[in-house]
Formats: sequence, structure tokens, C-alpha cells
Amino acid sequence: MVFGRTENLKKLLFISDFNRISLTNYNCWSCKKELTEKESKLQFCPCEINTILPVNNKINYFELFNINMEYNVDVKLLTKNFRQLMKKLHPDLFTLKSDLEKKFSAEQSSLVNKAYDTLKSPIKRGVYMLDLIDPHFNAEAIETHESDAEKRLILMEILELNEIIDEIKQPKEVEELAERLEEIMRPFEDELEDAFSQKNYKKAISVVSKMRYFKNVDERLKDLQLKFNIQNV
Amino acid sequence: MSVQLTRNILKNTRLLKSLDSVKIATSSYHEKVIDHYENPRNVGSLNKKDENVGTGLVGAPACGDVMKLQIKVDENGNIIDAKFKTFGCGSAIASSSLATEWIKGKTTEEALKIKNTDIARELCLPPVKLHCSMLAEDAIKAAINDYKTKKKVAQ
Repeated sequence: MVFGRTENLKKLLFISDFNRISLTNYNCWSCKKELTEKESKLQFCPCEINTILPVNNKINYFELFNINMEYNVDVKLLTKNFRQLMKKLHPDLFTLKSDLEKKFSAEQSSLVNKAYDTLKSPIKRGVYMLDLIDPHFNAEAIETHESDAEKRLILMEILELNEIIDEIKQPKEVEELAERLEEIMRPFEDELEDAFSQKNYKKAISVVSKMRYFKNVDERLKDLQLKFNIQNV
Repeated sequence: MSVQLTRNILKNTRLLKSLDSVKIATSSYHEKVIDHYENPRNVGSLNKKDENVGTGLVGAPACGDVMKLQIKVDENGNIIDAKFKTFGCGSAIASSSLATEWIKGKTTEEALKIKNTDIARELCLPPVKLHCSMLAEDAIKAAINDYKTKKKVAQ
């Protein structure tokens, strides 16, 4: 309470600081070191103090985890890099730091969480990559129409999976479902990997459009895994 | 100590936030949607091998919802029974529940006249949920279509 006025003053300073940062993206807010574009996408200033940096909105999720932008992601490496980043960025580590640093840590770790969730999921990763290549692609993926027979098969499969989920009572059943979903998704994933590596985006759009149908089933499976405490990595 | 304290505070704010979102979610659904969602009419399945049963299966890739609507038709072309099974959001469930309620007792020709806008208006669906009522209209059409194809093959 004694520090009330100073705190307010500090807050004012932070606000003005923050405005300046968003204007000059390429300087460290603390040591004022000029950052290259690559450095500005780091989480910490490369100086000795290693100050936490604000999120550079231009960063893509692949850059964030320092992995190649390919559909075929090494999930183990992704998880390893995710944990390493979190070890440095988690808001718990910033409780004694300034408000600005707390804010940056919260924003950085929330981005890392979102990025990890996206890249880990074969469906979300496909949608995200389409978005990165051309933001119009996903709109096309929604408009894409499969042949009626193909669509019918997909829908029957989804209906059946949902019915199975409704009946699940044991962890073993959740694992069986996960395996089954993986078997269904694998051919799509292989096709998508080929399509992206050959830059055949028409094909990629068509595969993603089919995969999107399984989005809800995938979410329901994740909820079950959480409920039964099953690790899905 | 301080870490533990922040954790607790974080937990509590998260809890508050989730409570907030629950409040928003319920208040944005119209009571008619909630009624159909909580007491869905005609949930279940009919024997799809029965030649008097037509099955419509539709889905939308954008949201991943899937809707199965079945009708049982008598020799005069009247829909004597209708069942549905929908996996999706509350609006999709309400739309299909209402659709089965409406088509029961109608002839297949009358049922074909039901438009998604009628369903949306009855349930007061917001613009972002219009595709749910569209799905219900497609499901009615698909079920009637399936019934008619079956009859043609039988003849």
C-alpha cells in the first residue's frame, strides 16, 4: 500500500513502454539492443541479461519450436521442444518479475500452448499449414465436395465412432478407440504428407476437407483421455 | 509460498473464467433450443433395412457435426415415424429434434417443403448457427430421397 503511488507510476511507464515496443518491434524493450528479424522471434533477448521478449506476431508455429515446416512432424521432438520452452516461459517463473515481464511470459506461454496443441494434432496441423501457405485454402476445403459415396462412408464411420464414445466406460475402451481413430487417420496423414511435399495443394485441400469431418470425434477422444488420465503422447 | 499462492490465484481466476463462459453459453442459446437439447424428441434409430424406412445421413466438414434422420412411411406416403441421432452442437441437436417433430404425420411431399429458414425462425437461431438448420433440411431431403430410391428399386 505504501508503494501505491510508485506502483501507479510504474504502471503508467509500462503502458508507455509497451506502446513504444509495438512500434519498434526490432529493439529489445529492456537493453535496447537492435534485434535482427530472426532474433526478434526468439523468446529471450540474446544479450547477457536474457530478458523475456514480447511475442513477435509474425512467428509461425514451426519457427517457434525450431522444426522444419513439413507435415511429417516428429512429435517426440516437438514435445521435447515444447517442454524446454515451457521450462523457461511458464508464468510461475515470473512471479517476482515486473508486470511487463509477467505479461510477456503469459503471452509467450499461451502462444506456445496453442502452437503445441495445433502441431500435435494431425487435423489441426493440416488446417494450419494450409492457412500458412494461403489463407484462402481452408475456405476452399470447406467448400470442397467429396463424391456422395465417399462422403457417406466418412459420415457412417463418424456416426459409429460417436456411438462407441457414448458407450465408453473404461480406460481400455478409450485406448481401443484411439487406436481405431489412428488407423482411420493414417491413410489421410500419408496422403497429406505426400501432397504437401509435392506442393500439390489441390490434393492437400481435398484431404484436409475429409479430415475435418473427424474433428469432433478427435476432440471427444481427447476429453476422454483427459477424464481417464491417459497420456496421448 | 508465493508460487503456491499464485497457483491458487491462477486456479481461481481460471475457475471464474470458466463460470463466466458457462453463463454466456447458456444465455446465448434460445430457450427453445435448450428445451430440445435437454428433452430431445424422437431420438433413436429405425431399422434401415426395412423397405419402408428412409435414412438420411448428412454432415458438415466445417464443424464436424453429423446428423442421421430416419423416416418410416406408410403405403399412402405418410410419414408415420421419424427418429434422429445427432452428434454436434446444441443447435444441431435442436434443429434435428424439431425436424422429426414437424415431419411426423406429414406426407413426404409436404415434408420436402420444410425450409431451413422455418427451423431457424422457430428456434431463433443466430446467423452463425444457420448452417445447423440447413443440415436438418438436408437430412429430411436425404431421408426422403433414400426412401424413394428404395421404392424404385423394389418395383
